[in-house]
Amino acid sequence: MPPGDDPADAESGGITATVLDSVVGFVRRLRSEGVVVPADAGIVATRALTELDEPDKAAVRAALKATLVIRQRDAERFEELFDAFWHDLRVDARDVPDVLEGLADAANPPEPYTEDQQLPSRTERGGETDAGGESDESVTETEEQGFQRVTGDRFEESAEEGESVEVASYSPTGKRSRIDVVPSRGGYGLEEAVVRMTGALSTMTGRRRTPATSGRFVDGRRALRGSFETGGVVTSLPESEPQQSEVRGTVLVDVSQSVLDTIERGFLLEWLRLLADHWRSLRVFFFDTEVREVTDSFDRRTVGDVSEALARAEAAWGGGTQIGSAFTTLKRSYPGAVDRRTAVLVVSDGLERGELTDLSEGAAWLSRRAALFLWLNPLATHPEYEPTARGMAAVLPVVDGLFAFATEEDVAEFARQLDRHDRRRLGYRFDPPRPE
Amino acid sequence: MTEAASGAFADLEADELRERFDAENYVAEDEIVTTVLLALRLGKPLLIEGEPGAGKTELAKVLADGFDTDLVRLQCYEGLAAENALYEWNYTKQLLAVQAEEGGVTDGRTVFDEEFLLERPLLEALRGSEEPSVLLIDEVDRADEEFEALLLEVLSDFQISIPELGTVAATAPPIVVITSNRTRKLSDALKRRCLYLHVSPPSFEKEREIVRRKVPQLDPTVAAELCGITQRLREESLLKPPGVAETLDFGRALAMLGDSEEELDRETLRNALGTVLKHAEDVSRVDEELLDDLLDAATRAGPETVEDATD
Repeated sequence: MPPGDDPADAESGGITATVLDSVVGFVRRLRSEGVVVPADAGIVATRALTELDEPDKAAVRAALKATLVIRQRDAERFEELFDAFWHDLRVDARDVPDVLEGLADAANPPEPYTEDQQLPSRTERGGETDAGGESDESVTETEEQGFQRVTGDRFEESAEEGESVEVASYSPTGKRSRIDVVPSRGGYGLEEAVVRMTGALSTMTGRRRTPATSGRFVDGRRALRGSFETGGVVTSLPESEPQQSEVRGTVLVDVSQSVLDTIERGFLLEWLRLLADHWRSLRVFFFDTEVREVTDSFDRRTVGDVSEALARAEAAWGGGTQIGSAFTTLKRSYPGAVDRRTAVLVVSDGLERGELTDLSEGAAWLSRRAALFLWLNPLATHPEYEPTARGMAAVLPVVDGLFAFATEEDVAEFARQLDRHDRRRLGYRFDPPRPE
Repeated sequence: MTEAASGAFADLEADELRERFDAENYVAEDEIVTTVLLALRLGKPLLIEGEPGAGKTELAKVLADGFDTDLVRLQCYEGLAAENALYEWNYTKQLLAVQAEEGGVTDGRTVFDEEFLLERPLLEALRGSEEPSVLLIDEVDRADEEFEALLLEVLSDFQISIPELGTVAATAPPIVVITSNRTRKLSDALKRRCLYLHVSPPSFEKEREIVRRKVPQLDPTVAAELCGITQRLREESLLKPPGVAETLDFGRALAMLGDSEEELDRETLRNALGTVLKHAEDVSRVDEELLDDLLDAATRAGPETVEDATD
């Protein structure tokens, strides 16, 4: 691992505080899972990482396994937890891109997609779906206040018989329509959750921290510096807490038909309007097969005003989905929309019809460049949901958190997680939704 | 001390290490190469655990041959004590010296001198040549726990304290490889000082490659067949599942018998089972049905996989 350019790196032998933080955190995590890790193993592991010529995933895994695991029975647990650690290391690489560029780029590509991993077939409609006579019988559609919610009693073969689950209709190309005035059903109860979310993000998107007696983070650099006085043994772990900063964000909203089938338009616009209201700066992009910036439309007081503004801006929704292409366009045409102080939120079901390579590369770019990269998936509301759709599987390794997004409760839940958890432990992977 | 140890291998790269393994016909996965490289660079002992016959001892031998250096081996056993591992005074010589030169002890000379010191493996490894030797502490789990405590000073600081002489420190810290068959739990203090590597039984492909390199006179198809058989035997609940060493014995036996180019038949397999199964109970488990399974496994592993490997 090459030494960093940061002069501060010299004091810790070429290892950045970020990597040290990650290793210390990983050691803690291993111990909390019952793995026996020697007292000074974190130091040895960090030294081992500095000795690697090519710190790719396999080499880092071998180095940490050799230094942190002393019982073969712990090896399996180590393997399970290592993937999360590697993901964290990639996330943190954004803080020190020069030093860890090699690590970040060497990360494994997403799992190859196989047909049988795809999310079960959508409630089919249109040309390719008319033949599905049987499934049509079991599908009911409800329409309420400007949005459709499609329910069916078949989700997956393994789903229990008669169980009603929500699925989205899939639209390969979609039929785009102009945005009309969206009726608002009044109070969505989103204000409190948005305020909580804003407060949480104000301490999460910045990397500056201040020493604290009971902070949320271990100050690895100070711990290492202190350990020099005790012969390399860490006797106490100094802690720090993040400084509050202004929240800047970019929201990319998938307005393809498949998303709009599962999410209420008024709810979506109200949420965006509140974000624009509370955040210091917010840029909003709608995308289906194209990307359109609609930021200006959200500087309004009501959902009706917002939809009128969108209509005036000739924005449209309901097309097909090419998420990867949208990310590429964003990167090429709006590079300033994403930087290291920006939280990026993508609202999409991950049902990609474009090239998966574009999607995974675009998502990796967002992950490296943004301070925080969250994915809000309207399909994830169901407890049986698994992010196995090809698009979702491709981006999952690089997103900081995957959340459901269809109701007020979903917004409250991810605001709660943002408020409560470290950004390395966001999403249902670490804090699954609780059954009611 | 560890810095000095790592200094000798600071410029060693993974590819170079892999080449050295290849030159010695040692098939090493990336994890083994990375872990050994780190042990060399960090100057830390390497603790290798795994089933008997998995190639743990072989790794130390390969390192010694690959770096063209001495291999100092300490075979551990129950009751192994300091005088067998570190050093011993040559009491007979001391007694003769005292008797021959009466008063010799009082005129400034002493019988507690290097002249009367017998070096045992640990001290020998520390006081070796300028080039670091390879110290193999084999089957450390056979030794008593007290012996582990004795190892701690050697492994931490690469030095030995001899009360009558002082502290003997290594000029070139050796490459230390400790192996364990996991017959008992090793102390955390010992493990903490080492890098840990667990050697699992090899995959079919790796085992076939090992046999191909170690027994080159064996026909590739037969080599694949016998690897298929040992892989199948490992699925059985045996007292001593066959390791790589047993597979190699099997291959050498076939080569010696002159059956190295013919497909394995039932009779040859039955006769050669003694090379892979080392317990009477295990041999008796191989009934006609299991023999059929083994021959099936051999057939499946035979020509097709060889074609795959050569594609």
